[in-house]
Amino acid sequence: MGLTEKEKIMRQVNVKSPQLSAVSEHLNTTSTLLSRPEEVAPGTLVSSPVMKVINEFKVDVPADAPSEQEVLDAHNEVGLTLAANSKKHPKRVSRAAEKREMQRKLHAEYEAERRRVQDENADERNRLASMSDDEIKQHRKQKQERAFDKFKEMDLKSLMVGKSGSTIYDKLADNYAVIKLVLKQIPDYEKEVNERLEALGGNAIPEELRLAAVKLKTLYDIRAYYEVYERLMFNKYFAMLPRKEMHALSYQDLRQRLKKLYDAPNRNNELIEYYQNLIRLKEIGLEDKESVTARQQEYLEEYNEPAVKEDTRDPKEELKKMASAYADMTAFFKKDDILHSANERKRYIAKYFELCKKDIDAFRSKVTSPKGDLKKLLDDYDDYMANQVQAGLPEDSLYRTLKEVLPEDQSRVEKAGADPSHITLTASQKEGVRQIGAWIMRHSFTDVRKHQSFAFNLLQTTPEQQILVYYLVENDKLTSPSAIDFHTAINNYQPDLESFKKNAGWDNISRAMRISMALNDQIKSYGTLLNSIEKADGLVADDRSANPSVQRSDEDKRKNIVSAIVARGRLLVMLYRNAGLHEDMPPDMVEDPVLRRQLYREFSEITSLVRSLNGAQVSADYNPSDLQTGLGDAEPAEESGTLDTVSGHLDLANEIVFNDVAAGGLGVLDSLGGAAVSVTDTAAYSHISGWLGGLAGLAGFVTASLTAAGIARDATISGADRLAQSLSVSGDFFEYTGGLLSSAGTLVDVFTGNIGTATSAWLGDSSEAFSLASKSTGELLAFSGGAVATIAGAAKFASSSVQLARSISSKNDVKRSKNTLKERQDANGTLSKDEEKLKRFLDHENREATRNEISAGVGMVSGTLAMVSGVMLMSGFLAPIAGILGLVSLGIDIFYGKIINTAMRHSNRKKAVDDMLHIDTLVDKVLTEHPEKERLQKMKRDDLKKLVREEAVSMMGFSSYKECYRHICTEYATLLYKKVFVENLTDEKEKNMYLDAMKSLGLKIKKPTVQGDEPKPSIEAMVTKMMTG
Amino acid sequence: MKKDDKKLALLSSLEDELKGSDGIGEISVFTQKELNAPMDILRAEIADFGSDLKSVLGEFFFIPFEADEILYFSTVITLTWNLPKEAAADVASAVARLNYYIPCGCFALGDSDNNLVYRLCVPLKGDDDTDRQKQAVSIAANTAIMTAERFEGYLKLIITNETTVDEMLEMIQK
Repeated sequence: MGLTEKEKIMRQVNVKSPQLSAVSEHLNTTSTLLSRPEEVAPGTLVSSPVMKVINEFKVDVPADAPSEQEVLDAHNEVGLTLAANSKKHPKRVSRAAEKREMQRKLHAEYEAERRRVQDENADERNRLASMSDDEIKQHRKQKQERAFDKFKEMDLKSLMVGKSGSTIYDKLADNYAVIKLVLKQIPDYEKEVNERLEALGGNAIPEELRLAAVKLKTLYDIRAYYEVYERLMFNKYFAMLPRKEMHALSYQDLRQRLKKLYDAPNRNNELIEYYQNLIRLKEIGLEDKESVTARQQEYLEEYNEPAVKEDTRDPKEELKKMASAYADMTAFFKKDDILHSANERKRYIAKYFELCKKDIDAFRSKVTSPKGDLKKLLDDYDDYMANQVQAGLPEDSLYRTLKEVLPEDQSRVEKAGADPSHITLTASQKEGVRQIGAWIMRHSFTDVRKHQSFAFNLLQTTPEQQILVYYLVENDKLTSPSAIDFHTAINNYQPDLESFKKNAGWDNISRAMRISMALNDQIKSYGTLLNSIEKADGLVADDRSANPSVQRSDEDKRKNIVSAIVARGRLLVMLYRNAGLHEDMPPDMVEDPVLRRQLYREFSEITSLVRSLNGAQVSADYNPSDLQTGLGDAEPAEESGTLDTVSGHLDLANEIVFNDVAAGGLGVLDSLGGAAVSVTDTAAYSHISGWLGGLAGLAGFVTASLTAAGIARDATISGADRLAQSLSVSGDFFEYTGGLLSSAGTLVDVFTGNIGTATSAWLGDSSEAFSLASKSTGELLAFSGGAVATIAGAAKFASSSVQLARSISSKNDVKRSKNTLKERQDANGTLSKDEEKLKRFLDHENREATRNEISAGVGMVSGTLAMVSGVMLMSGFLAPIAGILGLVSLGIDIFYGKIINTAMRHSNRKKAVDDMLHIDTLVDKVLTEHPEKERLQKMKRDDLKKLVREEAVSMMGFSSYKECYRHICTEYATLLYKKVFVENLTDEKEKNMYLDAMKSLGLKIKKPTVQGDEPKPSIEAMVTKMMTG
Repeated sequence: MKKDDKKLALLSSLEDELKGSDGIGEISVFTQKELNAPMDILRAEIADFGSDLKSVLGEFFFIPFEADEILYFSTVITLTWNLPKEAAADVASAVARLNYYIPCGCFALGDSDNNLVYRLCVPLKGDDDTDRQKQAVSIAANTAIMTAERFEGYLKLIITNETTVDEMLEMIQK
């Protein structure tokens, strides 16, 4: 796992793995990643399944121009509202007719090409018939060399359109045969390149060959580009819809649309295919001649040894920084008025030395006679290294106790445990993590605003959690994080201190920290899955090896294979979920290319395992060129399922899926009930139109694989049944999925820093989860139900500091909401967690204040007052001025001579957080249980409170009480958002209760009526309102 | 005491007051010479500012007028330097509407169109007692910070396109 593997792929000598081309990417990547790579000869993956599929796929182009109504309908289906009297309207109808004409013309080319290829193939077969085997071999080699010579001279740019001028359609229609010929000969080019590469042995690759290889990789992408574009152009919606608008849709948007389409009872498969091809075009990323040149350059760079990033740091400077921070640190730890016990202080220093060790060891020789701070640092360091005792210091019992008494619904920072996580980072990733960690620790002591405790807590988490934090900060993912981020962080991210620094405010680090905490369960279960796959693979490999140390029965061997399949199935489910894909979507709909490859690999592995379960034989003397007669030749299909190639696997996957369908839904599919219809529908549909040669979506694939593996084939396998069931819809499969969904739900809660679409993307994805699985809903609410006290704090803030502008009507909102709540309490005898939370909020809203009539003459003032202070401050004319400054509302009396100051600025926030923390209990605890309590008892209680507050919020992953406060607001806003917009509450009263509470914020509420619209207010707007008024 | 020295002393006293207080980060007086500007400026990192808890730059200075009967103490808080181009028109309109309602000072778009500032200017009696002047400066600076912070959220919602100007007005008037 991890970067090493990626590096391996990228460094391959053989021409494989074009980075972005979905088809070639799929074939090549998976082949190199098969568990038995030695059986896959280089360059064997030449048959594009797409060609075969297109060959089988009937393209129907209606003879007539589309009617007005059809065009309008298509527009409506994709959310482009087009009024019948719009000026654009006639234009679009006539444009649709033009495009339909284009489709027919293209279709004629396509048919002509089909016939031409059939004829050519027939000729070729006739010619070969009279030849001996040697002659055939020679003939093919000559053909291959001729093709390759032309290929070397070819300018790939000529295959593409320029920035202006002809369109891709013109290009394809006018040069159909030429383009197809070039693409058709890819197998020849590939074989020749690989043969020449192999002939080199270990010798350096000559420039010419290197260029050819790069060119070939680029050509893969061009092939994928044309294949997708051609499919797109045959689609009904291509004719009906304006190109510009549709191509401008973002990946996020398309994915959400697809999700909805997949969920619909009657799927619009043609529109699904249209959207999916739009996504694929984005993934391929080619547009014109310039992009081809750029792509070639990228591939060329991949061939070069990746430059090892030079350490440009100045050793003396670095030592100086380390020494100066260490001086600050020791000065800090000499203080009496800090919370840290002697033991804790040692742990901090130990952490610091651990982080700086590498740099100190490397740099110290550059300074001959260290003085002052530096001498002190080096001396203490040597002393520490000599003794090493501090390293194993246990956490003080006080800290453990403190952690225990924190509000139970708030998550705490988890320290890295002794157990291995099974997720490994590369050496350079680890070094990046170390450098950033050292930087953070230094700055936590030297910055004007100190963050020692927060930094220390962060640095004690697992490396994979830390790398996620740094990834989120460095790549500015804080406003739109998703579960997929940790896969990217672990697999495809090299932490870089310099670029991290640019975004590294404590606020950002704190938010990233909270995100990482929410994702921590995901990280852990990912590690567990990797581990179970590794174990299962180990057993399977044992069974396969010629000399197994343990003799197992056939039944046990099969059981092991099924276990490996199940483990992978689970990983697939997790990856799908995290990527926000519907189970029936093909895996190439994932945006992150590294994750995409991982999915392909798992799909392929499962297929391979199913195959070995069925005892299929690997044909050792398979000759790839037998397969590559190309477009229009139906013969190769007969060989499907017998090849140990990925395309063979894919064919087998189809077989598996199809046998199941053909048998009328035997086995697991039976237990699917209603769901079976859509699963089989999808499987069948994917087979026909599927762009990866019929790679089904996840649900169909896993289910069918398991059917083939266990139930359908061999019902006698004990355990296999159970395992198969565990992946089936009725069993563990969805339960497991449910668990993931609830994590996704948790994300919704945490990521309310989200702006706009990102939030709703998650909400959109998870909305079914809320209504579907009561379990996940429960967990979700348990999380957001984060403590009644939490909200009490928020509410106190919200009402007493008068951030909520309210009119008489919103007062009524509160009253109504309260009444409903009371009725519910009377009826049920108790309140749910959410209701409890709401109650706390509303209690504080229930102020009996009367609003004086305000004359129009003081409109400005009254507007200001309503906005800032609420209505209750209208009693005197001076009060509002104070209200504006938030003083009266803070409960701080202003009397003559008292000057406002910054201490007041955030005192309300502090109070809210203190309420949530039960700060007085915590302080008491410290005063009685701290190992050095005598020292602390001498402190002023307010000063001690400050220390305890800081320590407590740090343990919860916040860099300051203000960040914690913001999180409280966020939780509250999320609760309202979910209750009003996401959950489909059937009880009218309950629904209105939350609606009224939302209204009391004074924001305009708008439920979306048109597809693509966001509900208002957004979580962000509510948080802003609560934070600022 | 020379006029400029007096101003500098007032800024330094404000610096002492603000330094180390909760929510103030880096803070330092920059002299005319250092800035190559006609006046000394006290610059402060106002941390945890507004709804996003970001750091913003606060600048405190006296407008360099020749006459010394009245001192004009100014606070300028730069809310953002990167106002998205496409948001500029909406923000300009929102700023104009919001200024009608806020009690003191004003929001404004900077000269380069992509910075958004809050500004408050308070006149002080030039020959007043120094302690009273210090007090006035302190009140003005703190008022500016708190007022800007209180209203910044509305503009943020406009910048992020969460709210339209009309919706913002509804929020205010409701």
